[in-house]
Amino acid sequence: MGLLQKFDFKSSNYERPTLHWVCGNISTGKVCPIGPDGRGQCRASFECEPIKEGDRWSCTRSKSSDGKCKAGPRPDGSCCLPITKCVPVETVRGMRGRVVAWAVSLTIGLLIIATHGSGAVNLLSPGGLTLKHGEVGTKCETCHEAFESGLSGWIHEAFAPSDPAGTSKKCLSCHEMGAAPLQAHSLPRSALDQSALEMETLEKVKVAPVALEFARSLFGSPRKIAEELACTNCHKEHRGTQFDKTEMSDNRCQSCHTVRFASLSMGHPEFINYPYSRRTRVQFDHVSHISRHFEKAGKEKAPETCTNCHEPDDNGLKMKVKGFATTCSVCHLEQITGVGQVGQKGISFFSAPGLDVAELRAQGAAIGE
Amino acid sequence: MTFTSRRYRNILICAAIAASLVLLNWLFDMALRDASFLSGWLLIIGMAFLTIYNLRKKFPFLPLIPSAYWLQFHVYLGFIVIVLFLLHTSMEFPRGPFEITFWLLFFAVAGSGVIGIFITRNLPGRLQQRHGERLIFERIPVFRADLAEQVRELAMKSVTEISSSTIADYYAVRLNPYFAEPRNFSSHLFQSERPLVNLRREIRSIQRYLNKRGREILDDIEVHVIAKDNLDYPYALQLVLKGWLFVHIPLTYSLMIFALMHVVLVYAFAGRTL
Repeated sequence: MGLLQKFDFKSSNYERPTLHWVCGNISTGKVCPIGPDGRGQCRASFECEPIKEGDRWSCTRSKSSDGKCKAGPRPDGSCCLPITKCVPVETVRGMRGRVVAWAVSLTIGLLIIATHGSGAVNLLSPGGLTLKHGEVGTKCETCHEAFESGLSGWIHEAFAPSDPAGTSKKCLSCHEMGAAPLQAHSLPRSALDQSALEMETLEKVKVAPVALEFARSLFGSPRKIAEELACTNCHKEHRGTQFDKTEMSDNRCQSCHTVRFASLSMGHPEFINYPYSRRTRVQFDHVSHISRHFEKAGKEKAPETCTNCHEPDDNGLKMKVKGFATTCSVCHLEQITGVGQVGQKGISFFSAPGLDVAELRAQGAAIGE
Repeated sequence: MTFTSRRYRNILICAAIAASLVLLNWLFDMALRDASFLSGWLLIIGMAFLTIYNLRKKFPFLPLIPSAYWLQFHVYLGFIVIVLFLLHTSMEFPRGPFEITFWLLFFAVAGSGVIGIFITRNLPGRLQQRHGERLIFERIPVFRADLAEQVRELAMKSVTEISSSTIADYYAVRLNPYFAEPRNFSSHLFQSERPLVNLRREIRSIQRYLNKRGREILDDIEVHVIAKDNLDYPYALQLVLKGWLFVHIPLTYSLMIFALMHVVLVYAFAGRTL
């Protein structure tokens, strides 16, 4: 067979690629030239609209629709060939547009349900909390102040100016970080600057990784850019129970630190006064205390949380043991002062084996008999 | 410049840009910045550019860059955006339901896009090889109706000309349904001509019952059967060419809505960092 398709204007309609509806008679091959409207309604009426030439009506049917008809227009000027109405068919383009509209509506609907429903916490949470934070609770508003304000509040918060103090407020309601909680290592800026100055004069040779120098020159040092740092700058959450929030690469540490070095073995500043001075060690068996002593005699005196006996140091980097007066003495003071103790009071520094003869006699013991 | 060398050049440029973005992300993280914000914004911009290609096609009359160039840009940018997404997610599977849905949507869009590249690179060539005539998809039903009408007339003519209802009966039972709608979609897709061969064998098997004139009419009908098969072939392939967009485009818009929601959630709750 020859070519099926013709493109000359007499035998070819122009199929507009953006049309959403086509004539319902397409499957029979008898497509009307006017076609349906944008809403898929058939517009067919007559095969042409006759025009008046002098005192006679003339057929205007196009050549692509077989030209002028033999019968010609009626005496009243109407066409003699009415077109049977059809049910227009949606084009592939039209169907795709409808699927897109459905997909968009469905997505928006699902998100509205997700953000307004009672299960919003579970649906929107980007992941589990670390073990310690998980103990605080699973409510979003515990850590995210804006959560309770709903979607509009979230959008407002998203467009609000950056506020490290506000962002970290909830963190600092639990974590006692000293006087400068929004500074690196919770040290005041003056102390950091002083330390940086000392290190700069101390260390003359700096062998920093090229990439680190490049990164600093491109993006600057965080210390010089921001007055304050939010906690989330270094500590991430919602990465699962086993995630280490304190983990940080050496290079990230060095992005702030004045003295930079290639590695621990190459260029790291000398450790001064290492090992650092510390208080006398006290052997304290947590297991035996918790499982034995606190369960029996000292239940009412037993500590309830870690912070009953421990507190962070000034830098907020290490957990110190609180003083004797607030820890050991709660249970052991009477033992030390000797309340109800036989013989000498207090804890002896050195003692030789012997008998407390005076006391034994006072108790009526038969000594030397 | 040949097609192959142009493709190599574009792949090279695309790989260089992707490598630069990986490096930039690494340096940004090293400078104690939140690299996920950098990769996230680059990702959003990239995805927005990919999405507006669909809008570009809605305005063919505007003097914008030709669609062919847009498509090239769309494909290569798509690959860069996949690299950015892997960077942004640290190549980890997300944990929360919202994030998981977002992740799945992205890969559904990216995956359908990659499949789309395969389709749009292979099927047009096959169309040209098999048929030779570039048929407009919307016109195929009209041509099919024409062929069906011609075969119906041949069948009717056979009754009077050969005084036998053999061809007309066969038309009523087998050919009328065959010409009524597109047939053998999967066979055309996998380039199997078995259904056509079987049908032609069936037609030839009738010849023994016909006289000379009847055989001439039957030969004519067979030509129309082949022509109908030649219409079904581009119909099946063009349907696939258009059909994959039923997945790619709607999911793209859903993905963009999820992306906007993700941005709001991140800025509202993740805590502003450097």
